[in-house]
Amino acid sequence: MSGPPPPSETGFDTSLYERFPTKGRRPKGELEQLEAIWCAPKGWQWITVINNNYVGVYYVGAAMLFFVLAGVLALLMRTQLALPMQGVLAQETYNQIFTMHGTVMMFLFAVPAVEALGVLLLPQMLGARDLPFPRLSAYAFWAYLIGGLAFFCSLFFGLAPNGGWFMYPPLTSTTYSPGINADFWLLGIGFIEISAIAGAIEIIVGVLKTRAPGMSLDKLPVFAWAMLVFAGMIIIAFPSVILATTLLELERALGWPFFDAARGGDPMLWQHLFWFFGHPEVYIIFLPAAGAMSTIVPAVARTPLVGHWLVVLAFLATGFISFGVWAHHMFTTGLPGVSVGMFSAASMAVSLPAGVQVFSWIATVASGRMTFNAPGLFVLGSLLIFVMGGLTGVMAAMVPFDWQAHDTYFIVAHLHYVLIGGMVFPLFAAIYYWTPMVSARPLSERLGRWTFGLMFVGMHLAFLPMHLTGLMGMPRRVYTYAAGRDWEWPNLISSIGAFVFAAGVLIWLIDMIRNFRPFGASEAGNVYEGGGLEWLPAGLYSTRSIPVVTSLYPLWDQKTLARDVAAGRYFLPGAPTGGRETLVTSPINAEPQYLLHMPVPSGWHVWAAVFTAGFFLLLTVQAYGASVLSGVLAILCVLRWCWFLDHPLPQRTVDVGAGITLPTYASGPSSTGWWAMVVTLVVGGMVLAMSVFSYVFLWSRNPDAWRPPPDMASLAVATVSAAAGGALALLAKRHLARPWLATAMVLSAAALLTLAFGVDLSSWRTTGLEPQASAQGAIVHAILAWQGFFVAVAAIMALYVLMRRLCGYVGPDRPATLELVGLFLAYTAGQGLVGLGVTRLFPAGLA
Amino acid sequence: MRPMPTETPPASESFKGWPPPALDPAGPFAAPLNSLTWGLLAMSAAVLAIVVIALALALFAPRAWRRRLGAERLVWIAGIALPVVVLSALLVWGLSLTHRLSEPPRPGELRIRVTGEMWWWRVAYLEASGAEAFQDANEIHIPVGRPVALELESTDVIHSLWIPRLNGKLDMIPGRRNILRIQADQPGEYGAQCAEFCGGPHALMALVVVAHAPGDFETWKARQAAPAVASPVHAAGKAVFERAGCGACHAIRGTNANGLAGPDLTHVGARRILGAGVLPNNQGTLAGWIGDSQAIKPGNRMPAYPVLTGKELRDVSAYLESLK
Amino acid sequence: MNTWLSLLGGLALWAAHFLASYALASLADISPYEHQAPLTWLLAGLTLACVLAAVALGVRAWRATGRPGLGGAFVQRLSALASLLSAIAILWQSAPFLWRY
Repeated sequence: MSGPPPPSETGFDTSLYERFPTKGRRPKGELEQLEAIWCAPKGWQWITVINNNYVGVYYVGAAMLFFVLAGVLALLMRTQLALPMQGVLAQETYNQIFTMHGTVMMFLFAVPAVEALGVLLLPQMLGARDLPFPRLSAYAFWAYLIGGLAFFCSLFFGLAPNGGWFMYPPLTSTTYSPGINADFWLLGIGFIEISAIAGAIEIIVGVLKTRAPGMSLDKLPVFAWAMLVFAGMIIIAFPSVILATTLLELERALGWPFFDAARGGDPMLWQHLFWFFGHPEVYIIFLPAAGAMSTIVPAVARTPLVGHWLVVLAFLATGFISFGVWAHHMFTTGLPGVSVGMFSAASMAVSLPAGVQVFSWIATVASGRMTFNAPGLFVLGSLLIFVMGGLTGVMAAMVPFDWQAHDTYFIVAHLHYVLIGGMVFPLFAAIYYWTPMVSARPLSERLGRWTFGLMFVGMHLAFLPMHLTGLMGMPRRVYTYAAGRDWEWPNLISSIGAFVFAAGVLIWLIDMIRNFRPFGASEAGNVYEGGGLEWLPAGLYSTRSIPVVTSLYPLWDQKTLARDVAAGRYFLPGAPTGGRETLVTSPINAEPQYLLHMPVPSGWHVWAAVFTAGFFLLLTVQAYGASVLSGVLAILCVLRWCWFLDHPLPQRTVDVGAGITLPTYASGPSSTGWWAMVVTLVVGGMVLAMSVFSYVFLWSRNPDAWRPPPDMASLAVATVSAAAGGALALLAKRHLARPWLATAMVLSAAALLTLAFGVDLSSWRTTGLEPQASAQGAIVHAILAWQGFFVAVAAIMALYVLMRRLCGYVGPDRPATLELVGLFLAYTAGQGLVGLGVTRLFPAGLA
Repeated sequence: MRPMPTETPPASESFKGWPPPALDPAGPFAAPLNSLTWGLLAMSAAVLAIVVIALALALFAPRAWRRRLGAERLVWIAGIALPVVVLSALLVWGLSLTHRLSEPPRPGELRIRVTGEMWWWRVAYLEASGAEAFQDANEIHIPVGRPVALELESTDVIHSLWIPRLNGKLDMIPGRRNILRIQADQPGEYGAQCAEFCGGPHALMALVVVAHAPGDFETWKARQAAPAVASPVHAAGKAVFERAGCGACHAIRGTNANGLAGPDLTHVGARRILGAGVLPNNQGTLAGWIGDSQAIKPGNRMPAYPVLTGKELRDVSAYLESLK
Repeated sequence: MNTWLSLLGGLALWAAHFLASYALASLADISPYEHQAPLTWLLAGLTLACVLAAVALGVRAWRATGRPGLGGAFVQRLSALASLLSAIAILWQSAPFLWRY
């Protein structure tokens, strides 16, 4: 690329890139050392492995398993609905099955599948050796697998949730759902959301901080952009459903009336909280698939993506605007007309970015030469199906039409068109396209066409009639229907279509069994001739050397890249510190900043996942003692896992290639750990923000029932205490030259936060406000409980710092731990202040 | 063996035929929805055609055409400019229609309170003062040619009343009151369905709206407001009713039975359907329902009565059918 | 930091406007009749301010494509178009509130 070099982001001299590719041979043994460090797992190591080449495949595999399981549930449903008034499935069984079909598809298949694609592809695509926190994504995977399987098994005991995937109260309160079915959903899915958030943290940091040098934002692959926005959306959206499930579980277990109208709560609160998550959720599912489309279409059309920057813009716009449409799921609840209009307007706006992408794909196809191979067929099918789904979506965004269509089979048709067209077909395209990257054999082209044909035809047969069925008056979530309404023929056709679709999936399964051979000595390679870095020759260490990127399609534009990378002529041809490493680069221009030392596998993250899952599942079945024990063990495993972190290497700087040296330790805003903590705190902040929303919402429903807060004295003490704690926490890292002082500051900060919390809680108790008696009681105590949870974690962190000090691990050479702990404690202080302000000054302070 | 319905209940009848109910408006609230639907379908068809043609050209057209298509310009025009224009127009149409259809009820409009229960509909006709005149269940009777305000409430979970030929749907949410206005321009029967999953047999929670010519409506109303009159012929059936304790859940005005948990049975004989749209109403189906409603509508709140003999079932159903 | 602000500024304005509109609409729902007009004017003013700010950001970004800073012309073009789309979305979502008055 010609032109003046861009201004430097970090002070790194980009003319140093001209030293690459280096000349001459690499030293003997360098490659062998790399292979030994990144060796393949043996025996139990298959479970403790953290390399994304393995975890990614496991993850995609688990997601596809849940796809098939939820698909079988759909076949059972369609069998029941093929004819009116059938008794194939009993009413209660059907209600559990349709709830599980939706829940498993949305939570256990769709989000994990695209997250798994990211885990598998991103490091290679970005030129990194692995994700920045490999144990975190492995933990997320195992927690998801164990929890997901246990959750699915609830069906076999008749204990599966039966309130619909969206679980509206009051139907799901203890009065109308007395069993533990609903708790399986609330606790089972609740912690799988944690898994998704862990993955999101990984992806944000990975895309922004671990790219190949020179891969500035304009050369960032479009799939990586999609994953970045996807992960950002998870961070903002998932906390809302975490709060909602926590509140409903508190209502069920302890009787706190958030959603109970008789005691001042409001069922609508659930709907707001759930859909604030639920709508972005479907775009969370769509974006990575769209990113895959924007990667595969150029490859099968053999030409660069037309309007690449417009597609990136579409992702960013979708990421924001999709948060403004949630109430379009609530158009029939009697919301005031103005709000309804706003959400309708935003719902129209959000369809614009989708249209941009569709025409970008069409223009790309026009400017290239399309090949009708398996990935090609799937992308074409996806485009058609998705456009149809998007159009019925625009229809549903028109409020008066939605008044007829809402909660009918018209919407069932719409949602399946957008999800199957916008996610499932792109996913299958991605499976065919990227299988050669991980498997010794590609999948069969012939079987692929059959899979496509059957899925495409079956899909239309199943869901096209449903548009009509809905307008004929058939509502959703019905286990049967009366005869004589002319609903028989469309339902029969839909049921036949479902089985045709399933036949296609079956053929794909056969293809996988016959041809999918991962973890072998070699891979099939760049069968579809894509242009991204993931197609460079690679081993378990990813690429032999990390290239300098000068183009959006490096394999198409930099002709000798593959050969030079494999010969070690770029960054990091070996392992200068003798361990697993990758480069950390700056977010905008990808200038190298430091060398990231990465962990080797150990069992602690797996045990942490097992005990985390155990905590939530034992809580569901009300085995409280065992649950607490499991929780404590989970915390201990996490602490042991963290213990491996923040140990500077003996070499303070190393040569990362061609004489360029980088530090081996970093802290502060340029470090990956700092970013992970900040993103985690954003999650906490969003839960807090949604709690504040809930507080104001519940107040607005019943302002006269609101009681005055405790006295000003307690407010003053708690405020000063929290603020002081936060300040101490942030200042601690400046005193690392005197480690005992720094440690004492952290411990004092935690103590002050505990004091502030204690004063807050006890002063509320003296007012006689009971959490079960009123909505105010419930929400105030919920905000207190959330703060209490953070204070407890802060205390654990402070004790952890004390342990580190006792072992001599606190000092000026390693500020990272103290810095991150300081951030957490400061956030906890801030959160406490917000809680104090909202519960005591609103609306009392306004009067 | 459960008694399968041998006749189609009226609730189902009114869903039958072409056009489908949502596209077969019978009043001024549903008619604009119908026009909107057709307009949107036309727009969607047009856009789909554009996309399909563009894709077909992109794949198969001669080189020169494809080169013109294969540029950013296509994205700007078809992906941004055109949608902005179309969506702006739709937004204006949608907002104005929403506004027009959201007018509150006028003073003096007939008000009927419909309360969603698990899994039936409690219908209370209100006086002008707002007091309850009398209660019915699973049918809503209205006069033609006038808007009627349905006050929608729920005492248990969220339900939703949907009468596709008369208006869009509106939810019944505990703790809130929503008002759905309907108007039928022709006498007839209009089927309705619960459209928010309420657990259990939600699928079998239907309702019929019966529109009368104005004179007929007043006649019907007067008869409904009157208490039940039973002839001595049905003394045996009335005795069964009292012995079995039915009055604990059901009310029959003019007798001792004053239960509020279940539907009011004062004029049950005049209803078209039973069990909230599950069965047509005649002596046979009523006997079957009383004997074992659980087999017909599993999970509903009325227990089965295996203790009643065949003769007792015949007697009590004859008695109830006589309450017209 | 500036690069990200430039890139996401327009969309952030949209988000702020949405939040404010939602809050104002909710407030209007529980407020008496006399407050409706002032609230509507408040929203109108807010809308105008946000639209102007978004357009200004967009224009500034478009001009900067000639002398690109960090992130290059790519980021500036993205900012410009994102700001334009945000302005359109802001106008659309203000319509219901302003319409009813």
